[in-house]
Amino acid sequence: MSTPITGPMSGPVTNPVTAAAVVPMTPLLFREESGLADPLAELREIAVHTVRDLAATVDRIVALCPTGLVGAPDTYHRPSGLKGGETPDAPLSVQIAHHLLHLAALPAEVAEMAPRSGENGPSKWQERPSGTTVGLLVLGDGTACRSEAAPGHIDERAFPFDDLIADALEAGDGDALATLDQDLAEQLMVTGRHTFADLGTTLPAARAELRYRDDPYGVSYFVALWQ
Amino acid sequence: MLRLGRHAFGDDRLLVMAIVNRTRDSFYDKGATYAEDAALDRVRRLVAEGAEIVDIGGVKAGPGEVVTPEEELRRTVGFVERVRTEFPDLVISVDTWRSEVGRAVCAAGADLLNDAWGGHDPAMLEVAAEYDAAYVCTHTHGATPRQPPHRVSYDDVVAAAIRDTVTLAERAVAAGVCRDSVLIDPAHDFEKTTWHSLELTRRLDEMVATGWPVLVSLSNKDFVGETLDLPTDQRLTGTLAATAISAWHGARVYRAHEVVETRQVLDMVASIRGTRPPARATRALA
Repeated sequence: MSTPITGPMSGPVTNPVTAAAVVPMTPLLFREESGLADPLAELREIAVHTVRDLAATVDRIVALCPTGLVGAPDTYHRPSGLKGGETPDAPLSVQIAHHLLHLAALPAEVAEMAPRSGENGPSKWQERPSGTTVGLLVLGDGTACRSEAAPGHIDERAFPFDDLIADALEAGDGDALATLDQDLAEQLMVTGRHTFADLGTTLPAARAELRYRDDPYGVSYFVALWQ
Repeated sequence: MLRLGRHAFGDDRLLVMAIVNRTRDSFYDKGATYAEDAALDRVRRLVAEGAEIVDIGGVKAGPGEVVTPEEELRRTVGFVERVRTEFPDLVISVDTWRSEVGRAVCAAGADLLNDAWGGHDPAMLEVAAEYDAAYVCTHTHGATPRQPPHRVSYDDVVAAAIRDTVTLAERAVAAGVCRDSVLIDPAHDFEKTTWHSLELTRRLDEMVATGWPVLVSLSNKDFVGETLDLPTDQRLTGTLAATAISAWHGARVYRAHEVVETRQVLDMVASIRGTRPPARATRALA
């Protein structure tokens, strides 16, 4: 399915994006960071399967990677001291994207990273040779304000806000993501606030599946596949 | 020589700073000494157990009940006066980041300002200088008071802690705080993961090597709990292990909930290091 959109080039171009996967960007997706225990094993497994499913339907993957936000640092040194892959000082989200692709046994060449810094849009991933299909790997978390010990403590507004994101991800409702309240999202420490909106703008409607939703540490994690 | 307000201690003394929370919601005691009389009873017990310092706090470190400056003053100032009157030889520390609170408690008799949020209020240094109080320089990596850490990252956490605390210490001296009255604190758990706090403990000798006296606040903290997978009420053994390592590395002041156990560990380590004779050594000597 290709949708005409207005791209950076003059006149309408063909939208190469035909599918997308949404995954969290918690450092706990690195198995070693939690020490002996592996509290997010299930989440990691679902995320990896979903990345694999995404790759199966497209020619290329473009990872939309939040940076420069609270919870989405520009450079991230893993606290355990371990260094993974070839990007040990990259933004946390970029390292997570590489890691998930690696765990999914996908060759690095299949994917490219599109850092998404603040209000600046992602790089020009829409410009593709005709006929190339792209799957977006959308990194980002929901609110971080859902428990006493959460990074943002408790903010009651977090619960309906995450419900809105989850409903949109489950329904393939890109319009709802495109119009997320960015100010409130910033207050609720939503690392996915820009990348979720990018997804919504790119795919206004899709066949969708929400495969994971939980908040074990007061931060909402989602895994979804849109096709 | 370490000078804490009215009191001076030789360089080989290891000091216990006992925690007294005048809060309803602190993570360990959960309001047990919120009432002033209960807090004073705790001070009496801590002094009897051998604490050289009490650290009085009116605001929980982590997120929780909003405590206005007026409420913090209400919880701390009168209490400091009562402790000062009853225990003239005790070092009184107050855990606060607000300079208006620092000023009022110094006027009431506090000897030491434990600025646990790392110079968040720059006027705190002037208050310490004005009252000739001692001052703790805490490494919080620029964190906002009471905000928990979220995906923090360091190139080198020990280097960062040294750089920030030593810079703050020099600022304190430049502001007029006595050089013998400035301590540095790596601040375990503050803006740190468990990995970071473990590394700070492992490499505490590097902080000690700066020459500034080092204070450590380890007691029952999350890095102990996460390392051993234990809730707050079962972290004493882990705390004491970290205490022993810190003492071996040369830390000088130990902020703690449990005085007796902490004192025993410090005495034991001091004797192993050879800076304190055993209390009673007759074995094979008769």
